[in-house]
Amino acid sequence: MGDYGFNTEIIQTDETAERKPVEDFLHRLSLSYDSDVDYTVVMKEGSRIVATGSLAGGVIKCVGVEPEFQGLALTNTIVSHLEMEAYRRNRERLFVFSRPRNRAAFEDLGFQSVGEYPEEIVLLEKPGGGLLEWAMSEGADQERSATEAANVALVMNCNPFTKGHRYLVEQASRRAEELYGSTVDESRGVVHLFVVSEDRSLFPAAHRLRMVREGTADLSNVRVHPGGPYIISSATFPTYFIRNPDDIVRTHAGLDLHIFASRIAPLFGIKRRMVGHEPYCPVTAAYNRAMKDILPTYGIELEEIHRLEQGGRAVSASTVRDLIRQERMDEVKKIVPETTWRYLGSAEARPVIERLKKEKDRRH
Amino acid sequence: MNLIRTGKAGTLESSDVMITVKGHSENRVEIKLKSIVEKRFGRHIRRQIEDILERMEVNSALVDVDDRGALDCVIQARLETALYRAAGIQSLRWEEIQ
Amino acid sequence: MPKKAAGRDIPSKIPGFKEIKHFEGAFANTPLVRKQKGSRTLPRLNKIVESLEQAILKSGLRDGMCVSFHHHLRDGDMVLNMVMDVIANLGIKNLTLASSSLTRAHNPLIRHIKNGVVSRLITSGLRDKLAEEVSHGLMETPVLFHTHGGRARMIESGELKVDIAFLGVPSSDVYGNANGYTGPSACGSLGYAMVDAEYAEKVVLITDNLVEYPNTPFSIHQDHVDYIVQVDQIGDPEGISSGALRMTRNPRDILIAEYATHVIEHSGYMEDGFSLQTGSGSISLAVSNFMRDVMLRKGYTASFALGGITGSIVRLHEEGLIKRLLDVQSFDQEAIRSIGENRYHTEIDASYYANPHNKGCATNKINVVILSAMEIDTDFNVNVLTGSDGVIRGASGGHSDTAIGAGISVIVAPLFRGRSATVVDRVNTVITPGETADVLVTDYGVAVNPRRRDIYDRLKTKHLPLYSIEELYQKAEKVTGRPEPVQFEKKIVGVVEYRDGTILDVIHQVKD
Repeated sequence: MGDYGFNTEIIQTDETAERKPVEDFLHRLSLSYDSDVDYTVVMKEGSRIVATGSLAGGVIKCVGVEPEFQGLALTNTIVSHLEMEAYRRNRERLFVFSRPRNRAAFEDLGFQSVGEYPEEIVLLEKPGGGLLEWAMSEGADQERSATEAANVALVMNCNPFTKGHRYLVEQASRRAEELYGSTVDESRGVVHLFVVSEDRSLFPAAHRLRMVREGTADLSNVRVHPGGPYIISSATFPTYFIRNPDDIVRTHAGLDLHIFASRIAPLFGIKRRMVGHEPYCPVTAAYNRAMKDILPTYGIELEEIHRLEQGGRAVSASTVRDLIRQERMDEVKKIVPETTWRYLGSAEARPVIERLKKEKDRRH
Repeated sequence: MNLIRTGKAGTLESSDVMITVKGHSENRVEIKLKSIVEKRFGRHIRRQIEDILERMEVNSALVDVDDRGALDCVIQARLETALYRAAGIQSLRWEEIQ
Repeated sequence: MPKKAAGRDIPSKIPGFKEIKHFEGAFANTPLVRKQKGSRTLPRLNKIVESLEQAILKSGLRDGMCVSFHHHLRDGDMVLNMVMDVIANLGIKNLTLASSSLTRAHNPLIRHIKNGVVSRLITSGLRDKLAEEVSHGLMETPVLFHTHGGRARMIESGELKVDIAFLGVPSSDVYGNANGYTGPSACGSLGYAMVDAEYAEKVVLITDNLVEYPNTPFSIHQDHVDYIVQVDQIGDPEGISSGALRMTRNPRDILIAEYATHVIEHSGYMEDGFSLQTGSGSISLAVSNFMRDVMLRKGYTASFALGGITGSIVRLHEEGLIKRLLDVQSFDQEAIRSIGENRYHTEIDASYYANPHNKGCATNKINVVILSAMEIDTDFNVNVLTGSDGVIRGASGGHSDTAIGAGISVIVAPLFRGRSATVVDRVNTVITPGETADVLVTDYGVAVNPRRRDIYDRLKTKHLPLYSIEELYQKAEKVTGRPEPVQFEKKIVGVVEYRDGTILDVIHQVKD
C-alpha cells in the first residue's frame, strides 16, 4: 500500500539523458550506478525520483530510496517489480548485494544469505539454498566433509586451457595425494577444480569446462566442477557500494573468498587452495593477496605455485590468444595440451577464433 | 492442467502475495507457505490453495507462497495467474474461474 | 552551653525545634562548595567524571539495583546500550531496568538479559527482536508494562525506587543543567526524563554537547544531578526524529480522517477554545489537517494541544489556531525546532502530563483525543501492545491516560489491515478499558460506545455511516475470514498495569 501517488517508470539504460538523473540520485545516497546494469526502474513523485532499483543479468543492484520516503515499503515495490522482470527474462535465481545492516530487509523479501564479508557486504539469493543445491549436484558430501575430509581446491578460468593450467593441476593432484592420502576414499586426497562459469570470456563457459575436463581426464583424483554463480561470478563480484576503485577489487575478492571459505570449502572438505603465481594481471594479483589474508582465518592453507615457463615467460592463456590472433599456430601448439589443440581445430571453435581475430584482447 | 515452466504472479507489497509455481519433481503437490498471518490463517490459506489446484486439475506442483496478508480473492487471482503462466496458457479459460 | 565554631552560644534545646544541629564551620556541611575563596580557577565546580565506568562506580551501583533510562532518543538512542555494556563489563548482575519505553535500538538488551545482567524490565513498550524474544519467554520475571502517567505515579509515590538514572541529554553544562533542544542529538522535550531526574537516588547525565554554564533554559536542574559524562555521540539523528511527516495519500486513511473530523466537529466537544491531543500516525496527521479547515471555517481557535507534539500541530500553533502547546515528547524535527523557539510551546514532565494521582494532570483537561488501535473488541477494549499473532510489538504510552481524561476519545483505525481484522470479538491484550473509549472510526463505518448515548444522539443526524460495533466486527470477519485463535503457553511474559497501579491484563508466552 506504499505507492499511492507514485509513478513507476522504466529507464532506457542506453540513453545518457535517462541514465543521468538515476546516477545523480544514487550518488546523493552514496551509491553508484553500475555500468553493467541492463534494466532500471524508478519511482517518481511528479518528476522527482524517490526510489530506484536495477537488474544486471540475475543480480538486483543499485537499489536506493530517498531518506524522507523510507518507511513506505518502496523497496518492496521496487524488488517486486525487478523480480517479475527477471521472471519475464526466464531468470529463476536472483541475487542481491546489500550492506550487512540492510540484510534483514532483504531476508524479509525472501532472500537468503549466500555469504558475508563481515562489516562490508553480504550476498543474498532467492530462492534460498541454491549454493547447497549446486554443491550437492557437484557431488559434495556434506556429512563426511564436515569431519574427515581433506582436499585441495583450484579455481580457474582457462580461456583457453593451456599447459600452464595443466602443470598447476598436476602439482595439485600430486600434493593432494602426498598430503591427504590416496583416492580410494572419495572424501580425501581429491582435487576439486572449479571452472569459472561466467560467460564474459572469449571462450564460452561450456567450451572451457569441456577443455578442462578433457585435459585432466587422465588424473584420477581430479574432479572438475562448473563454479556456477558462486565462485568468481558477477554475483560474487559486486561493484555496488564502493566508490574508491582500489576498494572495489579488495571488496570483490573479499566477498568471493568469504563465500568460498565459509560455505563452499566445508561442503567439499577443502583444506588447501592452490593458485598460480600471478606476474602480470593486477586484479588477479590483488585477489591472490586477499586469499593470503582471508583463507588462513578459516583454517585453509594457501599455496602459491610458480607458473610453468617457456622461453622465459609464464605460459598463460593471454599468450595463447595473442598467438592465435597473430596466426602463429605452430607456437600455440607448443603451449597447449593435445586436448586443447584438438578443440582449437574443431568446427565448434571456429567462430570463437574468428571473433578473437577481430577484436582487441580482453584480459580474462 | 500441466505445468511446463515456472509461473510467477503477485508482489511483495503489503496485502498482496507473490506466488511461484512449477511442476514437482516427484509428481505431487507441495505447498511452501510463508505468511505474516500464518498462525491465524495458515491452514485456511493452504486449504484454499489445495482447492484451487484441485479445481484446475493440477496434480504436480511446487507452490511457493510469500503472503503479506492478502485476502482470499487476491490469493485466488494470483495463484490462477501463476498457474496459467506455468502452463503456458495465454487466454483465460473462463469456465475454470470461479 | 557549648561554644560553637562561629563563637556563638546556642542552646542545645529550643522550644519548637526537635533537634538542633550546630554550626561546625562554613564548609563542614556543604562539601560541594569550593574551599579556597578567591580561587580564579574556572569553572569553580563541576560534576564531570572521565568515563561512564567511573560514573557507575561512583554512583555505587550494585547487584539487584534499579537503573532507569528515557526513550526521547527513540530509535536513535545509543545511551542505554552504551551504559549497559559498561555495567555488564563491571560484572554487575540482576538489575531492574526501568525505561520510559524501549525501542528497536535496544535489541542488544537481549544479550544482557541472557547473561543475567538485567533480570527485570519495566517499560511502556517493547519493539522488534527484543519484543519477540520476550514474547517467546526470554525472561523469568514478566515485563511490567505501564502507561506514561502510571510511570510518573509509581516513581513519585516511591512504589518504584530508581537507584540510578542514566539520562542522555542533548546539551548540559558542567553542573547538570540540561535541555533537549540544542545540540547535534536534539530530541526536543525531555518530559519523561524529568521525573527520573527529580526522584532517582543518583542521577548521571550523559551528553555529547557540553555547553557554557548556565545552560538556560533547562529541563533538568543542576540540583538533581550527581555526575556528568561526556561521550562522542548519544544518538543517531536519523533515528531520533523523522523529517517532516508526509501527508498520507492512502485513500483509506483519508476517508477515516474525514469521518473522524466529522465526528469531532459534531460531537459537542469542538468549540472555540477547545483542547486536543493527536498522535503521530498517518490518520491522526490527516485529522489535524482536516480539523484546521473546520477551525478556519468556524473561526475557532484551540486553547492548547497536549502530548506528543508533531510538525502538523506546530504548524497550527504558528498559524495562531492553537494558542499553547504542552509537550511531553517532540515527535519530529519541526516539533524539536518549535520547542526551542516558540514562547508558548512549553515542555511538561510526565507527571504533569498524565499522573493520575497528583493534584491534577493535563490529560484531565483535554476535550478531544485521537487515538490509534491495533485491535478493538466489541466491548471497546483497545489493544495497542500485542499484534494479532499475540506477539508484543507496541507500547501502552499515553493511550489509556488520555482516553479517560479526554471529553471524547476517538479511536481511528482501518477495519482490517491486510487480512488481520482490527475489530475483533476479544482483544489479545487490554490496554485501554472499553469504558473509556468513546467512538471508533473505521473506513467501513463509525461505532459509538453505547455508554456515550449523548454523543450518538448528536451524531445520528449528521450523515455518518453509524453502526454498532458488533456490525463492524461482522463486516470485518466477512472480508478476512474467521481467524484461528492464537495459541499461548501457560507462562506469563508481561503484566499490564493500568495507570492507577492496578493490574489490567497479563500477556502469555506465544506458542510456535
